[in-house]
Parts: sequence; structure tokens; C-alpha cells
Amino acid sequence: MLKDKSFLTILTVFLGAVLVVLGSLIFSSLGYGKEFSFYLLSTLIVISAVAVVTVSNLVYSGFLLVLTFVLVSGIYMLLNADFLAAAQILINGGAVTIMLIFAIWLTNNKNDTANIPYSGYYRYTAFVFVGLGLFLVLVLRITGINFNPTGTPVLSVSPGIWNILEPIKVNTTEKIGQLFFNEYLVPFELASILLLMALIGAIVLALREYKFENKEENLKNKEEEKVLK
Amino acid sequence: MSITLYHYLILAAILFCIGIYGILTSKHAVRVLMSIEIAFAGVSINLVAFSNYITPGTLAGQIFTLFIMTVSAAEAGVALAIIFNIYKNFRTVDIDKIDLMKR
Repeated sequence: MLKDKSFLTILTVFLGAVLVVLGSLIFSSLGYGKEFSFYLLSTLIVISAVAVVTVSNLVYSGFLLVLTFVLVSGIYMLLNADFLAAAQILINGGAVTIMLIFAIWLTNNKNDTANIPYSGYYRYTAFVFVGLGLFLVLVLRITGINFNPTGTPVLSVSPGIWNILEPIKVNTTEKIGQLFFNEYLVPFELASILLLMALIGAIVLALREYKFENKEENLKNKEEEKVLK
Repeated sequence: MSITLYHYLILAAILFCIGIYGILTSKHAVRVLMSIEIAFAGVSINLVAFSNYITPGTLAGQIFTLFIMTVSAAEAGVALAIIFNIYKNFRTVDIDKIDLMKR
């Protein structure tokens, strides 16, 4: 029964995410809903991110992280970043979170104390320092700066890129590809070297086996055998 | 009332603060990684919003965001390999229990 329930919860969460993103994009493409879709997406992002941090079951928080990333890709679409939105769903929503969920499943130990949360006082202190202190500093700083007051999104087709009423005028994929192979060629190659290093490093780290305890046990066994002989 | 740059920046600040709060208050090593990913998402929203509103022609912010994605994927892979090793050795992923260098 429990398994069925959790599967249904996960399925509902995914369907809800897809519906929210599609619905808000359709609203914004009809021309009058950019504000609506921004507020809807950002509210859901904040709720799901808080849930990722606070939900006691780690597997749920992994799936909620997928929801957060899908919703963030909706925000990217509102900001005329179509390629980034697709890459966000594929890389962060797909690959990274699946790795995290597998890590949760593979490091599952019933006697582990990691699932017991910290005491209330510690969490309240952290909330006061981060949730109020850091956040207030950031907000005061942001609102204190006057960013280019006439700055309107020149690149954008007015109600977002997914406009059914007008043809899509902006294609960032082509521009990003050209920039990668001209202006940002060296960082691009460095990024590929970094990915290769991370791949090799992860394989080496995961395959190497430290056996401190076993070595000590082996030594003890050998000594015992010697004594017995 | 239209959506300005400040709306996106404040959303990004909220996400960043949630990520920092999660890093501070979680014991499970994988949950710390998740919180780091949330903070990365906040920073990425910042960069894309700057790219869209302030330098609309150049797309530099979107390319920075792509590099952030690359680095975060690499970081997650290596960090998970390290977490597997920690679990193999200690049978726990509680970051308070991993204090071999303190002892």
C-alpha cells in the first residue's frame, strides 16, 4: 500500500509540474499573462525549494528537486532563454537529480543518524541568520542599485518567446553555438576537459576500495594464525 | 505592472537563501548537495535575467549559465563518488560523524 501511495504522489507531482509550466506558458503566449505566469512559477519554485530542504523523506525531496528545476526552466523561458530551458530540464532535472536519487538509495542505512534533523534551536538560529539576515542584506542591496532604468528586454518578443500569435523571432540556440565556437572557444574546451576530468575522477574514486578495517582484521587473523602455529 | 529585473533578482535571492539555509541545517550529505544545486539555480536565474535585461544582444549571461550547469554536473558526479566512499568506510553519511581528521 505504501509503495503505491508514494508512486502516486510522485506521479501527481510530475504531472502537476508539467501542467503548471505548460499552462503558464500558454497564458503568457496569449499575451496578457506574463505577470501571472511569473508569479505562479516563482511561488511554486519557492514552495518546492523549501520542501526540498525541509521534507523528512529524502527520496521525496529528490523528486521535489526535479520539480524545482522544471519550474526554473519555465522562468528561463520567460527570460527568452529557450536553449537554456531545454538544457536545464535535460541536465539538471534529468541527469543530476537522478544521480542524487541513486546516491540516496545506495547509501540507505537504517541505523544512520543522518535522517534525524538538527535540534530546533540550531535551525531557528540558522533561519534568523540566513532567512532574515542574509536575505535582507541581499534585498536591500538589490533594490539600492539602479540598473539601467530604461532597460527593456530588447531581445524579447514582447510576451515571451513562446508566442503563438507571432512567429518566433529569436533563436538563442544558433547564437549560443556561434559564440561557443568563436568568442568563448577556450572556456568551452576547458569545460570539456573539466567534464572529462570529473568523469575519470568519479570512476577512480568510486572503484577504489579502502579497506582499513579489513586490513586490520586480516593482520589480526594472520597474527592469530601465527600464534596458533 | 510589468515584471522588471528586480523581480527576478529577488526571486533569485530567495532561492539562494533557501539553498544556504539547507546547507547549514542538513545532516545528510546528499541533502547538502541538493541545497547547493538550489543555490546554483538562484545564481543562474540572476545571470539569465541580467543577460535579458541589461545586455540583450550578447547572450553572455546565458553562456555563463551553461558553464555553471557544466561545473555543477561535474561537481555532483565527483561529490557522489566521494559520498559512496564515505559510506563504504563509515556506514554513515551523517556529516557530523565524519570527523576522522578532528580526532
